[in-house]
Amino acid sequence: MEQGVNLSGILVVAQREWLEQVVQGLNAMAGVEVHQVEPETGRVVLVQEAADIHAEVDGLKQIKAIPHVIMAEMVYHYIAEDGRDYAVIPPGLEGDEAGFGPRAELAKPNG
Amino acid sequence: MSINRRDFLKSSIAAGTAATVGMPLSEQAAAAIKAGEKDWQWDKGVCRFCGTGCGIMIATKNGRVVATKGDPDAPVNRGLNCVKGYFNGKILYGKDRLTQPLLRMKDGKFNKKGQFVPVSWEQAFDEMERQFRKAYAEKGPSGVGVFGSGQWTIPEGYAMNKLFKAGFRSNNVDPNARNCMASAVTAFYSVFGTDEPAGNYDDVEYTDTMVLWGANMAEMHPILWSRITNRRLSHKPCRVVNLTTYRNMSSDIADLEIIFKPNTDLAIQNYLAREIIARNAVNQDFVNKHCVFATGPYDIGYGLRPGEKYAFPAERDVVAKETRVTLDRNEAIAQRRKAGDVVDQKNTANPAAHWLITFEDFRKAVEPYTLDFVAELAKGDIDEPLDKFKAKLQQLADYYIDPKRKVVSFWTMGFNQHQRGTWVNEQCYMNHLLLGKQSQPGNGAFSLTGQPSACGTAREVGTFSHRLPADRLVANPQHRAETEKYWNLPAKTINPKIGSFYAKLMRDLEDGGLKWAWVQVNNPWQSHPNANHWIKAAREMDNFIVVSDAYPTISAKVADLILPAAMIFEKWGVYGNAERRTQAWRQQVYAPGQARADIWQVMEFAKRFKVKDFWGEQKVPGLKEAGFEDGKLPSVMDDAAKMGISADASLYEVLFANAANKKHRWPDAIAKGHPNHVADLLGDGWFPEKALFQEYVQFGRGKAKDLADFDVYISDEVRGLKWPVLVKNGKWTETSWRFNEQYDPYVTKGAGFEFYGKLMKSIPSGNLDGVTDPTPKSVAGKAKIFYRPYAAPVEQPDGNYDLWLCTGRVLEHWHTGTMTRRVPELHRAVPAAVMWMHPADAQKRGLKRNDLAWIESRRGKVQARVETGGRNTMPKGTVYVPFFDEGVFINKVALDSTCPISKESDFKKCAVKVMKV
Amino acid sequence: MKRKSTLFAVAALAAFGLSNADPAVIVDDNLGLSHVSVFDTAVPDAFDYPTVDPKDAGVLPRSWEDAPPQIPHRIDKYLPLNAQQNKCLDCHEEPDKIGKKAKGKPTPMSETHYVKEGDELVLANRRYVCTLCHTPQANVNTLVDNTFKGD
Repeated sequence: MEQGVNLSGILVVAQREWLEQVVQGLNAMAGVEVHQVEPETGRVVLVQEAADIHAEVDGLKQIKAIPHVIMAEMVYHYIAEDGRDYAVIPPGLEGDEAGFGPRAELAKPNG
Repeated sequence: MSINRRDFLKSSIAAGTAATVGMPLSEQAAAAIKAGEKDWQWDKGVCRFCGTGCGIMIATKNGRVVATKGDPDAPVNRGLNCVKGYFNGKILYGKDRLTQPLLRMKDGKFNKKGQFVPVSWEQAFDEMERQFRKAYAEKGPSGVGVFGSGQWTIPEGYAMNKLFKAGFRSNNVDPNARNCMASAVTAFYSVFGTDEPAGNYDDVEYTDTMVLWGANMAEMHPILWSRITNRRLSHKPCRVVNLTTYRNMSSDIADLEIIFKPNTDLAIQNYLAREIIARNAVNQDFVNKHCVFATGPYDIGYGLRPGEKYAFPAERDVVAKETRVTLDRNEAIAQRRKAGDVVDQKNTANPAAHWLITFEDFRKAVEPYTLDFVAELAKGDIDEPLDKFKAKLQQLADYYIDPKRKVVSFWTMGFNQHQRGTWVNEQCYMNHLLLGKQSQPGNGAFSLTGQPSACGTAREVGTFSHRLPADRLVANPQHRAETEKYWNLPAKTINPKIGSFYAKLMRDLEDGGLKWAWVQVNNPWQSHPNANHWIKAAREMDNFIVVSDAYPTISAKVADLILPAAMIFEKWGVYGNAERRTQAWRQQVYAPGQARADIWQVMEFAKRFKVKDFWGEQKVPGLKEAGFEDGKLPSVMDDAAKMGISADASLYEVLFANAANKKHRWPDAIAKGHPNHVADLLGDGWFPEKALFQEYVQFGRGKAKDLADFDVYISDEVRGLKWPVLVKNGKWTETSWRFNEQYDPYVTKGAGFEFYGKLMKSIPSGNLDGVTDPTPKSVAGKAKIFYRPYAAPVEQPDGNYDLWLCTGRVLEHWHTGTMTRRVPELHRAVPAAVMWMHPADAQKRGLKRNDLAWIESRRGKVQARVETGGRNTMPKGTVYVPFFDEGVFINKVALDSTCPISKESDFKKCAVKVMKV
Repeated sequence: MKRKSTLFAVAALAAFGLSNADPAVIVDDNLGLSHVSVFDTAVPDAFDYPTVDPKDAGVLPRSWEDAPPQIPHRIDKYLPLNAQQNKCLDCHEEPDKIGKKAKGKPTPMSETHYVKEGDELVLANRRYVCTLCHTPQANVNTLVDNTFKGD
């Protein structure tokens, strides 16, 4: 059976002048993929794949420990413990709840 | 560029993370996301199941549906689906999809006693045609018929309607919607003169009081229920009332639950009317300006087949009541007569007749319905104290009457499937009209519908045996003439004799009057009550039955020819839901094997016949109509020739692929790359679904039934529109509340309200006992407030059959389970129909939960497992069995009594006995 | 009482399901889901919903990515679900744990089940009746296989 998947989207903010070294350090970590780097602000978006929730927390600790990292925060989180891929947070596919009800353009109810 | 699922997930997470922290998406990430989604093509669709009409989004990949979700842009459901709705994609993929025609054969030839053998479409149509010609030659237009559906798409129903009524000159087309909302229609006609609700679903968010009359919306209209729940929990003064014959899921959110005895809803409604008058709460201004009072005959029978010839011996005592009834005490009081009076049912032939009465007559008529009388009659739970029940009825009256409260009444099958279904529908309008709480946001009697296009196809297209498109009637010469004009037919092509309604089609098979029948998009042999008769008729009489379906059903099992049908997203379609919303979708995937859309089947069949086969003189026994020779349809061949229609032209060319329709070309840019297997197979370059829809919309325009163009409904921006849809400031604009000047462009300026429907608006005058002045009086622009009395159910529990049986649906399955039972998640949710029963009733019979029991009526018996817990709580004396499960074939037990006016079967009440197996 | 032998039924069904070209005979009694003659009475099997407590239940596989999760544990103890009580929410309403399902712990409801009120996520009342979308799954065999595949 395929191993479960545990994915998290993490925002890292590094000191701008050390950004390149930080990205190198992140790329060297097992299960980490750097997706986006913003040199102007020192922000990095990465996705971490971990075997389970403990490994995931450990990974985040390791990232925080990399020199010149100012902060690292888990923003998104996916989990599939049955060996199948499925979304816990659908990627913007579900409908929003807000605004349900009589629509604004309908005439006002009388009485 | 290919990208695997995990990489896609990672890209999505990265993108989501970036978006959350406000980082612009890198080009690389955007490309990766796009590539990941590119192989998932999303398009809008409509839910296949109930009449709510939820929007869904469908994802396809490599020619298969891979996912569905609630459409966030759909105003009906805003992204939410019920558990069935979520599995719209999966219903296509049951392993036993029918993929080729199957014909009963023996020794290489059709044989009614043979077994099914796969044949080509050519062979299938050959035999179908041969049998059709034989039946038509022997019996004429009355000898052939169609069991249609409220699940037909609009173009499908329209095509079959036209083929039969114009081509074959037979009105024997009737949908299963007859068993679903015919009583709603007859009441819309008699009260308002036009079909379908005034309000819309937004009423839920505008109102403070919702009253459910025999409608378990929590299970049967789950998404509307989610809106009701939301309103109840979010709006403090909101109150929900559940009137029902047993406790169900809808009671869980309700503030007031009223358990009543079958048929006593008639008495409760009259109690409310009496109370409205007694408390001086009649909205005099509204009633004087916009309403009149009316009543009709009481002795109208019960829609049973009269006489003993076809009745099983055990059925005879009940069938005898069709002609003569002895009034019980309650009926006598309710009808101002004496208990024990024997009443001959003299008005079975003309049950819909009605006449004007005065308000004073009306007041007198409801006078007997006092709290004491009604409470004692109606209390449905023997264990409930009478005082408590009385207090509940008073509370119900308080809710309706409170001038500060807006009230919406909802109903479906509890009212519609009712031996007095038309009456009880009319009564609901009676109270809303008396109070002036009608046709306003948050105020109104709202008839829900069961099927996804019961409104769109069955009602609006008029695929009933007595109807023509857009509120036109077969029996009305002007309506026939208009239809002939739109259909480009010679005058008098359309048969003036109304066809057989659904139950009568079955009875016609039984007595040999109907020799050839075609079933599309429904499963009559499982869903029609008193099934043992119809199974015998199908298998043992000399007739030919064609069943088009996607899966082998009970109806397929009794058929002679089975045609494999394409399912919802395997074809283009348009549905109309219960709030007058018309919604359309494109074909998403291809049907498996040789399965084909019903509309293709209709057109291919039409190709096999010529104009001259039917448009010569035809014998129609019983036809009697001004301008027609008795028992005959005239030849219209000469007129056809004058119109340039060749005698040798095929019905396909004349009715469907004619010059006007062929202007709508296929391929069409609105397809956006989606296929159309019907257009491709026909291969003559036109777009049948669009062309027929455009032909059809002519019928309603200018008649307060206006629809927009096909392309408008298909366009990506539109999530359905509520008719009448008129162009306002260059934009197609829907109508939210009918008959109300503020919202409805058809209301005369300054009128405030106007019930402008045109049917049955010229009636005689009289008193409670009958007509006194036959001169028809116009009541144009007005709604009728009917007095209708309580009538006892034709069959009631007695010493032998000692329990009430109610049948219906469950949340997780659709109708006869043909689709939903093939979805493992839905099957496991409710694997089989069980019999809900009060624990004491079970114990009395030596039964406990999960034991196997016989359920037996005068008509048949089945076995089911006993359930004494779960979602329904039965009062003593009543059992409930859903009908989705062919393994618990409860329609062998159910009674085929109908509302005599609407001809809709009453599935909600009959007498049974239950024994341990 | 079944009229045809089971062996024949299986053979006929196999031919029906697999071979389109083979003009095999399909016996009407074997069509559909009940596999008895329309003149006979089927005998429904008994079934039961899971009796496992939530803490001992795993997670059921989903048919496709966003399919609504079905309920892997008993719910009879937690019903009725009404305006006064909703015991599902006692465990599954965890707006601060959205997306953070841990083994052996309840699955937090997804973000679609909430609306934002200021900075707070509060339950969307339209999602209040959980059983409209989530159902307990009885331990029974499927009647017919389904070939749907989520991507």
